[in-house]
Amino acid sequence: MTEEEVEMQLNRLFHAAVGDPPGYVSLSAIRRLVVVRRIVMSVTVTVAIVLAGCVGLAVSADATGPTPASVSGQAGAPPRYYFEEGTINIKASPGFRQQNVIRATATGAVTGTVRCPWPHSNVGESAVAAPQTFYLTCFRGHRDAAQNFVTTGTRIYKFTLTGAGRPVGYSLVPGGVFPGESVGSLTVAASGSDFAAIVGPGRPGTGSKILVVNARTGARAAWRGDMLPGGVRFGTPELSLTASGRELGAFGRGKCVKKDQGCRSPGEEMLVLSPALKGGQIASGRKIFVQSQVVNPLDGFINDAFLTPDGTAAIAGVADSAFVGIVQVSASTGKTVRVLYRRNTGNGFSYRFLSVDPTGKYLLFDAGPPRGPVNGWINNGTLIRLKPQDDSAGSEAW
Amino acid sequence: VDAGGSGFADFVAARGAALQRTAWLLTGDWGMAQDLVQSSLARVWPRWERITRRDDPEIYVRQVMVNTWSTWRRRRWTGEHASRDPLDSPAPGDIATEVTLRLAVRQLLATLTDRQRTIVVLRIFDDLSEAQVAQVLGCAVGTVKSTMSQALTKLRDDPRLAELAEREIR
Repeated sequence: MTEEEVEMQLNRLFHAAVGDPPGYVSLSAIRRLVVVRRIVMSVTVTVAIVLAGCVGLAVSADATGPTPASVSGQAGAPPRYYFEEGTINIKASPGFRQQNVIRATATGAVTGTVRCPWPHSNVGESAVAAPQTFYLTCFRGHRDAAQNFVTTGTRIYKFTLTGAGRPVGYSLVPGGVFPGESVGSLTVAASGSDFAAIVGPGRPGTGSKILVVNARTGARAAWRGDMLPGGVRFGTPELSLTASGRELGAFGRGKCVKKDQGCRSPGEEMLVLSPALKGGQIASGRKIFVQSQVVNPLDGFINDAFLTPDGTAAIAGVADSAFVGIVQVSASTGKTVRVLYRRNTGNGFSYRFLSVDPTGKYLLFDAGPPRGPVNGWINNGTLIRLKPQDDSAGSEAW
Repeated sequence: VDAGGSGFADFVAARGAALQRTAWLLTGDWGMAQDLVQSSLARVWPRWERITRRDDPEIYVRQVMVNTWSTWRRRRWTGEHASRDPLDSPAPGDIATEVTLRLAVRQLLATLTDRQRTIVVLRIFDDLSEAQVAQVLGCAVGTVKSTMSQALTKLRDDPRLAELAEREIR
C-alpha cells in the first residue's frame, strides 16, 4: 500500500468507527465549568496574595538583623542559591576541572556561571554579604622557572544574583585593586560596609599583613606582626568580620619559635582585633579560645572558625579521629556552649570546609569519614545533603 | 457568563459533535472525549470575541483541545469528576460489528505515540492541511510531514490494518 492508500483506508475506517457521540456537549455544562474555573482562580489568587503578605512580613522582621539566639541550625528556608567554587567532578571527568557556578540550594541546578570580569584572570576566593552579594577575588599570574606560582595582581569584584540565580552587576570594589600582590582569606561584613583579607607579595615569601578595607571609600587599615607574647608565631589566619565590620576575628595556628625558653604551642586559637578599621599589631588582639578549650589537643583539631555576625560567639568546625562536628563557642568565656552538628566517623575523618551565611544562621559543611564525606547544610543538628551528591566542591558560600 | 453571546452557542451547536469525534479518536473513550471538548470550550469561551476576530476560530479551539489533552496525559491522575448525568446511554439494535470496528481502530491508534496519533487524526479525519496541523501543534510543517510519514509507515506495517481493510471489503 502507498501512503496515499493508507490515508484513504484510515479515513474510511475512522469515519466508520467513530459514528455519532452518545451525548452532546451542552452549553450549560460548559457554563458550569467556566464558573468553577473562575471561582478556583479567584480563590488561588486570594491565597497567593495572603501568602505573599505573610512572607513579606517575615522578611521585614528578619531584616532587623540576626539575634544571638538565632545562631545556626534554625529550621526555615536557607538562602536559595549558593556559590560553588572549583568543582572537581570526579565521576564526569577523571582530571581536575574547575567550574565556578551558582547552584539552587533545593535542586542543585546550575543557575549561572561565575566569571572574572578582569581579562585573563582566574577566580580565587569568595565571601558573601547580605543579601546574597558575593565578593570575589580575581588574580593574574604565571609559574616561574622553579614552577612556583607568581601572582602579578589581584582585584576584588562583587556581584549579586537575579531572582532566578543568575550573577549580575559585576563591579570593582573600592579599595579592591592589589597590583603585584596576592590576596587570601577574603571576608566581608554582612552589611557590606567593610572587607578584610590577608595581602602578601606576589612571590611566595614573608611580609603578609591583614588589611581591612572600607568597601565604600576604599580606605585601608593594616594589622601587622605575627609574633604573639611568649614566643608564639601566629600562622596564616582565617578571617571573619562582625556584621557592622567593627570586630575582626582572626583564626590560626600558634606555634612556638623559641622552645628553649619554655614556650608551649597553643595550637589553633582565635583572636578578636578591634576596632577592625583602626589597624595595629595582631598581638594586641583579644584571645577568644585556644585549641585545648574546644577539643582534646592530643588527637583533635579545629579546622575553621568564624565570628558570628553579632560577635558574641565563634562557630568552629572541629574533628578528631572519631568524629567531625560544628560547635558554638562563647566569645566571652571561650567555652563550647552548643554542639550544632556531630557525625561519628569511626577511625579517621575527611574534612573539606565549613562556611556561614551572612546572618550566621545557615552553615555549609563538607566532612565525614575518609571514605564517605558528605556535603550539605545544617538544619537543627541534621545535615541536609546538597545535590548533586556525586560532585565534590572545592568550597561553597551563600 | 455570556462572553461571545450567541456566536459561541452557534459554534457549539454546529461543531460540538465534530470536535467530540476528533476527541474520541484522541482519547478512545466517549466520556473522556466529552470532558475534553467541554473543558476546551470552557477555556475559550471567556475569550470568544477575541478568538472570533481570527481567521479560523475552530483551529484555535482544536489547538486548545490538543494542548489540554497533552496536559491530561502528563498528569498521573486522570482528572475524573463525579457527574450527575450518565455519560453513555444504551445503544439501539445489534452493535457487535460497530463495537468490534471501534475497538480495532482504537487499538490501531494506540500503537502510535501521542504526537503521531494527534497528527494522523487531524490530517486524515479532520482533513486539516499540514500548515493547519502545524499551527494547532505549534510546530514546523516539516515536523508534521515527518511525523505523519513515520506514523503511516508504522500503521502500514501493522497486520491489523490489512485485516480491517479485508473485513470492510467483505
